[in-house]
Amino acid sequence: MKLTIVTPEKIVLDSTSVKELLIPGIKGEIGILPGHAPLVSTLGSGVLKYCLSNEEKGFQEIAVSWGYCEVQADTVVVLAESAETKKELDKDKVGKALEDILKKLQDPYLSPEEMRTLQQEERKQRTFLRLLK
Amino acid sequence: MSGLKKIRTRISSVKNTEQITQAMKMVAAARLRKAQERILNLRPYAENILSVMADVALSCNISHPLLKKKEKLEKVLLVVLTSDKGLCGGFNNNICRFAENFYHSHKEYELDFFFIGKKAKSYFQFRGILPVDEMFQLDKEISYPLAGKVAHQLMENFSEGKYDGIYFIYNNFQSAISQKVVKEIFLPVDLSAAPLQRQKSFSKDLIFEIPPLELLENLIEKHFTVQVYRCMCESVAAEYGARMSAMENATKNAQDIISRLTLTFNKMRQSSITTELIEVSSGAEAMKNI
Repeated sequence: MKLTIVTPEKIVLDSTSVKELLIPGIKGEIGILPGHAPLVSTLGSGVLKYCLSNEEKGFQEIAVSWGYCEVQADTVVVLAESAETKKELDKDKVGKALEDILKKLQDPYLSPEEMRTLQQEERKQRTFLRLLK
Repeated sequence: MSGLKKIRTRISSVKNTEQITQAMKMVAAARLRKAQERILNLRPYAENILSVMADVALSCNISHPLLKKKEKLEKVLLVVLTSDKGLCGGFNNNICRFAENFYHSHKEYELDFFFIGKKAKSYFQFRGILPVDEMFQLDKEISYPLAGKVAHQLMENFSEGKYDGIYFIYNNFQSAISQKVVKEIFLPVDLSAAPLQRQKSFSKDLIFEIPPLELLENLIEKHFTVQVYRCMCESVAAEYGARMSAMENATKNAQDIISRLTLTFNKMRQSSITTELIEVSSGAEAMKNI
């Protein structure tokens, strides 16, 4: 099964062979094994896990947020808004960003629109924290 | 002697200018590399999203207000992308002239402008055209979330029926030395541009986790955002390319001037030495006869 993960700013994986994949779908986690039926779904904010085919076990983890995935005859394409691995994240920075967002969320005069973006951002940062633990 | 001194100061001032243009060229080249990389990284995402969107829309036969072409165009929003700073050759001028021509040749539309970059604003301000909105400092702050903000705002205007079409005019980055001014229609989205070879393999019994219409709506929004981001990237890369070649020309011109000035300087010095020698030797000749 070939996995491709791309974001607008970088290519994370390009047709890499994997044998198992867990995608954080909007309605819960989706597990995908080779031979999965064609599927289109949106992604929530969460940790995407995959297992490379030449490795026995152990999952690689990537924090993704807000995107799409398309499963087609043994190819999986994930289009994510952002995708960060553990190495690319800094615990202090993430903690600080989360604090900032929570502070902003205290503001009682936020428009529903702003509220939604901030909440999205909050979930993204929480996912990062979960990955770092 | 005063002539010699003047030339010497002139040479040193041209040398300073040369150093500055050389430095600017280096800076532009370094930034250009980064901007080029950004475009290359974006391309697979943009292509994938377009083909997924086309797959979903065509296989489920859904139509969406953002995909439908209006029969009669009345109000059009023109987004013009320029740079904030000059010194990049014809980059800004070409684009402003193109936009102005478009404005004059499409009097039947009610045109509104959205300027990204200071140069377009000042160009049109001089001609008494004011934008509905503007944005600066693109080259420093360019990022996907920023494009998302702009795209969201544009899309809202479009859905509310404020505009029947949204056009972008920007410099398409072709190579480091050439840019092309292009006009693209961004909304309504044209699906015929999507690659068609995948449609055959597209399975009919596709599982949708969420309703196709909702998915398509999301996809169109993402597609539009990506398009906005792409043309921002192109414009920034083209700006650096234009600046790089403009500065290279400037450096070359400065070198030309320096070599010409040095030649005149040497000639003048030589002639003054010759005059002095003649004076000395004729003086010595006069002494002999006494």
